[in-house]
Amino acid sequence: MESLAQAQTDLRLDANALDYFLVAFYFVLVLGIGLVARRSISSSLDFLLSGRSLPAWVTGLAFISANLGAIELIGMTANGAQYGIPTAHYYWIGAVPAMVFLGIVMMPFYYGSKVRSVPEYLRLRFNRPTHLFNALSFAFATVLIAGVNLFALALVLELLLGWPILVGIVVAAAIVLVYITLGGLSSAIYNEVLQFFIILAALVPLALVGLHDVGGWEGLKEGIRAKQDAGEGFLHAWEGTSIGDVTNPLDASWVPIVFGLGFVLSFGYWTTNFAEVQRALSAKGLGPARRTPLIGAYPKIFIPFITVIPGLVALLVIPDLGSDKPNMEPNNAIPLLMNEYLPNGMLGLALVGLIAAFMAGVAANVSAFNTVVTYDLWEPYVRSGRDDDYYVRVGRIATIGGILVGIGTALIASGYSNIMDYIQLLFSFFNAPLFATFIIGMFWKRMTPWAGFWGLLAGTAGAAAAHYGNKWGWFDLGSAQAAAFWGAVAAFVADAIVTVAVTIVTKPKPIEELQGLVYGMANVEEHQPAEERVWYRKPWLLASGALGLVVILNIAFI
Amino acid sequence: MADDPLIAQHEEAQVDEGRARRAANLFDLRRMIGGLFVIYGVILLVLGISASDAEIDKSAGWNLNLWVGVAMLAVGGLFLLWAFTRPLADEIGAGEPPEGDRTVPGAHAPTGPDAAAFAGSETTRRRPRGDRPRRGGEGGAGRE
Repeated sequence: MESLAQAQTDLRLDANALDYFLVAFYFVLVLGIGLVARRSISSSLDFLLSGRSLPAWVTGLAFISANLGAIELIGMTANGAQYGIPTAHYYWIGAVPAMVFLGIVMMPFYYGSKVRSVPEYLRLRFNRPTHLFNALSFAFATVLIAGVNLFALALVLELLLGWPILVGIVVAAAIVLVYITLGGLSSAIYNEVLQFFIILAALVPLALVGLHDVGGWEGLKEGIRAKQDAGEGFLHAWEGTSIGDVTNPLDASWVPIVFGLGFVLSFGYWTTNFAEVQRALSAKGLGPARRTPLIGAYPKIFIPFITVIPGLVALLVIPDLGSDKPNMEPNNAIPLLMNEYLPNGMLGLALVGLIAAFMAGVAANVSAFNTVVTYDLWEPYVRSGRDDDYYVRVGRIATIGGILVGIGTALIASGYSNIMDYIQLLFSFFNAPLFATFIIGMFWKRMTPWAGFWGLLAGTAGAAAAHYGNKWGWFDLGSAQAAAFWGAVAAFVADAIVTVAVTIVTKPKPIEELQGLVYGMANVEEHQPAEERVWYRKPWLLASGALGLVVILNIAFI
Repeated sequence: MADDPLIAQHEEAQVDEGRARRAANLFDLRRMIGGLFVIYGVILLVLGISASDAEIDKSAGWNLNLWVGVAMLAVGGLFLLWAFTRPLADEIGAGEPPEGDRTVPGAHAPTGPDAAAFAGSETTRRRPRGDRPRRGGEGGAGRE
């Protein structure tokens, strides 16, 4: 441990041939899944939406895995080391309620209207300008995020194995490229489910051995209380969040936590981000589609235990973490712990887990990107009415193009020092306004097509105003995290105000064109689907269980 | 408004093509996960059995390879058990029937290639859509 903080090469893992064998074996399996999935592709719907044929447990785990990428694992462990238990807000307040809302309220409109993507919903509910604006901004943001994931993976490979950054980016991109181009979304989703289990197999032992080393949960708490830059606040989710007396490590009162993170940012991400919603759309019926986010909510509730606990352990056992010494950024908490505790063999497994997490992040974004490019840009605006084989080819070419551009943006991302801020910024620009437009459009039949367009534009401008106002010192919004929360609130409010104003002065769509798209007019089945007679498949029961667990955990860690 | 020309065109492409083949390897995922876990489990277990004191020391006194190996073997075994005790045909026929159609619960579940064909025909009539005009392959782009 003493030697850790010395030189650049210190983080280099002592990986041996066996560890590399585990990694190579995994790569072979991933490519094999691509080959198997390829046999089942006979239409563009197969390639881009898995032919709407997957069972709920598969799409539910893929739903979570698509989000359990680079940013999530590395970033949330870093947050665990920097903020402690309050990091759990990103899961319990900032994810689960929105996932429940998606499954219970919104999925009947998405799945019931048979749209093939989130932008396509906007085309049906509003008009083509709204659709084009959203499709373009989504494609843009997605490729940027895929690039950030690639870059983050390459950084870790460089740090741990000494691979040059460029080699890491190209190898990771090539593998993702091959398995998605071959097998499309099925391949991406199958791999995501596999990745989910591998990530758990790698991180659960790491969290446990770390916890054991610092003397169990009690030992961890004592250590954190005594630690100079940490203290009691690190051990409570809600302490010090009252307005005017903000002392919690996040530097945010409950208002931005609940409304910014818990409402706007989280609902914006989970309910309108196509990389997520696409997993549910690939389910084999409305029932499984609704259960997708509900099933995903359960692992999501417990993921903080494998990110926050390692973060806190790292804070104790790696004294220089967070200092200016080389390789001691909080982002390196997981690699540092791997180095600290894992013997060869387990080390290879953890490497596989990390690589799997990064590839999941890239693949989720690329598979959403190729669908939006095919169905929302190429088909309606460039070449309509071709036969379906043509669009399968477009989907494959879009995959290749997306990954090539992703490699380019990965190189751009290497110029930014703080990846997490960059991502949060993208989300507040693109997702927060989208949620306002969706929620108003779904519940207010009168909302007009042009209100959709101008609302989105105003929301994006609102997020930009909050971001640049804070950056240029016009006002102070607190920590980078708190600023992102406020930016999301600004985007939401600006979008909502402009939406209402434009609706008042423009003409609504005829009501019959809104069938299946707005509240009260969903395309629902008349009788209860046979499968939902089994109690554990009832959406309401799954939803209540998830929300109940969140309440219990929030009380336990208050 | 779900009667959209761009969407209808693709739904048409769905009806008669390739569901059988796709359904046939749907649930192979369980075998893939199970297989990977068993293989990794065996490797870690062997390493764990021959672990040196230095390695155990590194993991704060735990023989990490051994225990993770055992756990992975168990999880992988459960996946394989699931995959082999409830194979593909049963899953499609009875386990989780496609939505809103199987009015006779407990009806004989088809097996083999029939199961796949069954799955195909069922999923295509997910909901009553008799009102939808059947369009040809040429979509009405630009309608709106």
